[in-house]
Amino acid sequence: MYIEKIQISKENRLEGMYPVAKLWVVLFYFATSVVLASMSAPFDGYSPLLYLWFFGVIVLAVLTGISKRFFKALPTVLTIFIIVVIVQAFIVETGDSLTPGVALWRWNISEGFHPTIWKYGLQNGLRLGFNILNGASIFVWLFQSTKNKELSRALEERGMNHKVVFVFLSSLEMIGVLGAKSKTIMNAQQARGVETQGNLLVRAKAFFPTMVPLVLGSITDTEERVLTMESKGFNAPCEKTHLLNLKKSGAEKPCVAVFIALFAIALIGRILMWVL
Amino acid sequence: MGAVIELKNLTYNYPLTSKPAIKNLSLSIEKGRFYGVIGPNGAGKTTLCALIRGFAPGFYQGELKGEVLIEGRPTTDYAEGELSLKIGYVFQNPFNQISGVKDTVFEEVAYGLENFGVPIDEIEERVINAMRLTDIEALAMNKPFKLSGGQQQRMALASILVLEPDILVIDEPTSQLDPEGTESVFKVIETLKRQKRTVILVEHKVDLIAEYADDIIVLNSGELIRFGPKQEILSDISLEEKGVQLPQYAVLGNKLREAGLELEYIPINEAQAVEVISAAMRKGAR
Amino acid sequence: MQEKKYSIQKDFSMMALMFIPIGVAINFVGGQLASLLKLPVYLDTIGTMLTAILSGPWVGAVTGLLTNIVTGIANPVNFWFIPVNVIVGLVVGFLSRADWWRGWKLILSFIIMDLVSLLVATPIVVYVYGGVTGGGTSLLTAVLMATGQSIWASVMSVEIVWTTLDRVLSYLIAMLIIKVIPAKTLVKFSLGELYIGKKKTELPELEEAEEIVEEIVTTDDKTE
Repeated sequence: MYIEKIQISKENRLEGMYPVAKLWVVLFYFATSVVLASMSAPFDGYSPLLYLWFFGVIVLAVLTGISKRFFKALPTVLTIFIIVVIVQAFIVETGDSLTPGVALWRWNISEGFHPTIWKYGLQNGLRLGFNILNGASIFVWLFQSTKNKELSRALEERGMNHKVVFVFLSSLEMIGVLGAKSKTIMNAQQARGVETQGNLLVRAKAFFPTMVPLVLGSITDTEERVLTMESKGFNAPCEKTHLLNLKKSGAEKPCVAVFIALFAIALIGRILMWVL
Repeated sequence: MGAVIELKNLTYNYPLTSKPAIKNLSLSIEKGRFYGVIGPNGAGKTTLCALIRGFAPGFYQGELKGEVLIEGRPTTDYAEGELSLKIGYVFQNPFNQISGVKDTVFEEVAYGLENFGVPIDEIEERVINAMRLTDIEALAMNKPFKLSGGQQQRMALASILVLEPDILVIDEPTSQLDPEGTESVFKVIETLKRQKRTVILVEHKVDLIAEYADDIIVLNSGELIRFGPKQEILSDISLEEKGVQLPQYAVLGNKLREAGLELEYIPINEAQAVEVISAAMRKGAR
Repeated sequence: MQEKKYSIQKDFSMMALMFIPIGVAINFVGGQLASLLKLPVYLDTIGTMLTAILSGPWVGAVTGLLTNIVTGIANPVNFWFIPVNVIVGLVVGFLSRADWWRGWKLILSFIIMDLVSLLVATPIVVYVYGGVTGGGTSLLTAVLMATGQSIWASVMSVEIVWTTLDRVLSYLIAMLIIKVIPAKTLVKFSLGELYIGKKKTELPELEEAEEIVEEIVTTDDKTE
C-alpha cells in the first residue's frame, strides 16, 4: 500500500524520462550550443543560430509541461545575460588593438559623455551571454523536471556508491535546514543586543555571533548523526533493498536521438563552413 | 530470565581526559526487565548508555578497562551492523536521528531495513507495525522535517523498533520536547513496558520512571551508588543529598514521616500515596 | 611515536562524510548571510576551508564541488565556478596536511591560497563572463573596463582586493570555529589532532561552550 504511494509517476512522457537520458540531453544541447556559437563568419560576426538555439530549450520546457516552474527560475539567469551583454556592448570596442572599433549607435549627450554601442562588444556579449543562457537554462530544465530522489536513485542504479548519493542528498537537505536555523539564531542574537544594521564594521561583526553557534551546534549534531546512521546500517556491506523503482517513460530514445541529430547537423554545418 | 548485559569492573576515560567518566562499575541487566537510570548532570548516564551500546570505546575512542558483555560477548567483538540489530538506541535530539534523505515518514522508518537488505515484502509489514506501535501511521506520507518534536521522536523510535532489536537503550528522549510531545513518547514507552521488552531508560522526569521501571540504576560522579528495585530506591530520601531527585510522592511521604505521620511505606506514585496516606490517617484518627 | 601512514580512507571517515553536507550548507548560509547583512564579500568558502583543514584536500575538494553543484541548481552561474571552490579545498587541505596552518607558515599558506584562488577565478570570469558575473564587484570591474583598462587588468585588480578580503574573513571564521571545537570531537577528523592545542584537554570547559550553543539553538525548537 505505502510502497505504491511513494513511487513517482508523471503524466508527461518527457518529464518522466529516466534521469540518465535527461543528462544526455543536457550534454548534447550544451555541445550544440558551443558549436553554434562558433558559427559567426557567414553572419558578419553575429551568431544567430546560437540565439535561436535558446528557443530550443524553451520549446523543450513547454513540451515537458514544466513551463511555469521553468520560467520562474529563469530571471536570475536572464539578469546575468543582460548585464554581460550591456557591459560588453558599451565597453569593449574591438577585439584587438589593430582593428578600429565600429560604432553601431551613439548617444551624444554631452562633449565628454557619449555612450556607444560597439559592434565587436555587442557580438561578443551576445555570444558569451547566450552561451551562459543556454547552458544555465538546460540545467534549469533538468532540475525543474526531475525530483532529487529520482536523480539520486538513477545514479545509484547506474552504480554510484550509496554513500556518495547520500552526501549529495544530505547536502541539499542541510542547506534548507541550516538556512532556517541561521535565521533563528540571528533573531535570538538580535534579541540579545547584536546589531545588524549600521556601518560596515557593525554589520561585519554581526556575522560571527550567527555563524559560530550555527557551526558549533551542527558539529555536535553531526556526531549523533554518525551514530544514528551507523545504527541504521549505513555501513552494512550487504546488498541494499530499494523501495523506489524508476520506470522508463518510453520517450528516452526518441528525445535523445533528436538532440544527437541536431548536434550532428550543427557539427557538419560547422565543418562545411570551415572547409568552404 | 538471564543476564543479557553484563558490565564488569568498568572504568572508562574519554580521549585526552585524566578523570574517568565511569569508575569501577559492575552491573547486570536481565532480559525482559525495565531499568531506569537516574542521577545528577554529568553523572555518566549517557556514557553508560554509550558503553552498553558499544559507541564507547568504538566511535568515542578513549580507554576502557573491564568488560562490557552483550549475551556473553564483549561489545568490541561485535561487527558494527550486528550490534545495531541487537541493541536499539534513541537519542535526546529528534532532529539528529532523521536521515535527511527521505521525504516521507514511511521511507524514513524503512531506511534501516533498506540498508540491511531486508526483502521488500517484509519491509512494508514491519514498517506498518512499527508505525502503529508509535502511533504515527497517520503521518506516513508526511515530510519528516515537518513533524513536531514529539512526532519526530516517535518516528525515531519507530525507525529503531523496525529493526526488531532485543534491547532498547533510550537516552533522555523527552528532554527537548514540550509536554504534549513528552506525553506521546511516554505512551510508546508504556507499550514497550507492556510488551516486556528489555529497556534501559535514562530520564530526569523521575515520576515517569517511577511509573514504568522495574529496577533503578543510580549514578553519581561516574560511580554506581545504588541499584535495586524501584520501591526501595526511589523512596530513599538520603539520595537527595547526592543530587538525585526523588518522585514527588516519595518526597511528600518522607516529609510526612518526619512530621510524625506513621506511613507503612514510602509511596513512589499517586496510587500508592493515596493508599498509604489514607491508611495512616485512618489509623491516626482512631 | 608511531608514524601515521596517510590514507584517503581515513580522511573520509563517517564523521567527515556526515560533515561534508554541513560544510556545503555553511558555504551556502555564509553567502546568504553576507548578502543579508549587505557585506561586500561572498563568504561562501568557509565550509570548504573547514572541511579541508580538518579532513584534508580531497574532502575539502568534494565539499567545494558539491557546494557549487547544489547551489548551481538554483543559480546556474555557480556551475562555472566549481573549479574555484574545488581548488580552495585542495590547496587548503594540502597545506593543512603539511601542517602549514600553524605558526608563522600560516602567512605563507594564506598567500598561496589567495594567489591560487585568483589564478583560477580570473580566467573563468574573463572567458565565460567577459569580466562581469553580476556579483557585487562587477560594478567596479565594469567601471575599470570603461576607463580603458583591459579586461584582464580590470578583473584582476578588483579580484585581488575583494577575494583577499573574502578569504581572510573566511579563514578567520574557520579557525575561530576550530578553536572552539572540543578536543574529543576534533580527534574524529583525520587532521583534527593538529589543532587541539594545550588548553583543550579536559571535557568540562568545553561543555560550557556547547551549552551556550544548545541554549541558543533550541530556544525556538521547543515551541513547536
